[in-house]
Parts: sequence; C-alpha cells; structure tokens
Amino acid sequence: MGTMTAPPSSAYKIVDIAEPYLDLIRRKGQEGTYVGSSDEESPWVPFGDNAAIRHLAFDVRQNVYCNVLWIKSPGVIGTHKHRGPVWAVGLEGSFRYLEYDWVCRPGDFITETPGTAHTLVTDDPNGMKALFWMQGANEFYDADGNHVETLDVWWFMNHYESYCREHGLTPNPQLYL
Amino acid sequence: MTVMEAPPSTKAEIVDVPFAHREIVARLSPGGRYIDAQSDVDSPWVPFGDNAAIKHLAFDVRQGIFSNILWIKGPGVIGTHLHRGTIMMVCLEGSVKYLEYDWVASPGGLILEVPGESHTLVTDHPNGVKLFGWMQGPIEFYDDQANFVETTDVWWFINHYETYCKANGIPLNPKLYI
Repeated sequence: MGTMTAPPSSAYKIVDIAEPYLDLIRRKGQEGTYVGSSDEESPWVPFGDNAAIRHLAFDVRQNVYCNVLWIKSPGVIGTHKHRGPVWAVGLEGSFRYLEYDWVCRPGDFITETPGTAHTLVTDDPNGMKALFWMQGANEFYDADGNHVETLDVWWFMNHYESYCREHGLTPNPQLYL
Repeated sequence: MTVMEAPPSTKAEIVDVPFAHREIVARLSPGGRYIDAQSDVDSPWVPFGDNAAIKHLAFDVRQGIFSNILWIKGPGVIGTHLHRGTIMMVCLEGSVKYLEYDWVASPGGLILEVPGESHTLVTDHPNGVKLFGWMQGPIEFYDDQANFVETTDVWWFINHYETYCKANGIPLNPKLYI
C-alpha cells in the first residue's frame, strides 16, 4: 500500500477541505491560540531571584501547562518529581539533570516520564531557556527531601495571574485553552 | 517509608482540604459532573443503524475525547474500523467480542484498544451488548470491501447527538460538553 512521501500539495493557497461539521466546529470548538514573543502577550514572571517563567498555555481539562523556563545564570531548580509526562526543547544556553548524563542545548529535545524525580542544573554562564510542555502534578522537595508543594496547572495559572494582578496587566485569553 | 494501606479517613464528613488555588479552580475549571445513564433524562438513545443506538455522555473538543454507551440490541456486527487514538470500554450487559481476538467480554470486563489497531466488533448474545466507552481520537470506518467510508471523531459524535436532539425537539444538555 502506497504512503505519502512528500506533502501532497505545495499550492500556495488555502484548499477548501470537505468538512461536514464546519458549523459545529465553529460553534463548539476551541480555536487554536497564538502567543507572540512580546512581553505584552506574556510577561516573564519571576520564579525566585535567578529564574523566571513565561507562561504560554493552560488546559484545565487535561491539567496541561506549557511555558518557557529561564534560569538567568548558573543555578539549580531543586529535586522535583513528575506524576505526568513532560516534553521540552532547549532554546538558549544549556541545562542538565544531576540524575542523567546528557546536556540539553538549543534545539535539543527531551522527554520526562511519570515517576521520575530529578534536579535541574545549568552550568552555562548565561543560564538556560527551554520550552516545557507538562501534564499533571509536579512535586517539589526541599534540600532535606521534605515535600514542600505539589504544582499543577492551577499553580502555574495562579503564578501568571498573580503577577498580572500585581502589575495591572490583563490576563491574555490566548493562554487559556 | 510508609505507604497508605487503607483510606486515611472513613468519616462521612467533608474535610476542608488545604489547596491554595480554590478561587482559580472555581473560576476556570469546567467542573466535574454527573450524567445519568440509566434514564433518558440527561441523554437520549440515538439510533446508529437499525440494531444499535448510542447514548452520548461526554465530549471534550480540546482533546478529541468522547464518551458514550453503545447498545447493540441483538446479535450483530459493527464492521471493521481502525483506531488512531486510545479507547477504554467496560461491558455493561450482554457480551461482545472482536473477530480479531480470542476473548469474549462479559459484564464488568474492561476492554483497552490502542492506536493503530483495526478490528470487527461482534455480539452473538441474544440480547446483544451494552458497552460504556471513554474514547480519544479518530476512528476510521471501512465497508465490507475495505473501502474507506468515513472518519468519526468528537465532531461526528457531537453531530450525531445534536442532530437527533434537533429532530426530536430535545434541548441539548450542556453537561455533556466538558
């Protein structure tokens, strides 16, 4: 059986695709979102003194949250444990986990799976930026292994909205799936 | 390190669980819900051919999820179809099998199906089968000559529900839309 080996159309135009549920999709569907790179569309929200998070998407139905983590100079995000899956792409600088033998650099792709706990470190003089897509609970521990707090979509949303409130910013509806 | 071996409280009393984001949950969560499946109050049986009907229970358009009860009323077949997503079903009444597998599902049994599988659903039970399903992603249906006929996904299921409701003057139940 043949299978596509190249895009079947390279026409520089919108092709009208048969869609029997167009009205329904318009009425009940959720539009895709666009969040540009400007601070107006989503600001850097401090996460401690040396890090910030730029929130990009929240899906409360699936407990999914997507953001860019920025650690500004060599530093650590202490040991935390995931109860759901994570995907990430390195954007700037580099980071690694004390538990693994790889280093994630710009363009590199990583996944993290439920049940894994690890300790994020950047040794790069300029720190790191990476895009994270995360699902489910993320448990943070202190340096003695005591559980401190479980983060999920609600924590991330609150982190974003609290900052917006304090700075008189209107939350960007494009972040809410 | 100790682990829980029994529920830590059996008190029939609401305990105020500490959670820092109650306000934001109240504002933005779609909320859990109960949909009655024993009656037609929340959702009617919508015919699916002469010998089958579907009671739609939930739609999540963000993840392409749909949940329903499939009822095949007597011995019958739902022809070969291919899944692109993940399916979880529980047999509620009667029995069901797939021509491709060696098991027969009976009430209470759990059926899992994964992306890439195609199969042919058969019930030989005199009373047919009722199956509760929680399904994600497209299902591609083929005719008996293996010609592709249609891809059904959350939109087909919503349309199936809404078309029947419109035709029968039944108000749409907002509870079905997660």
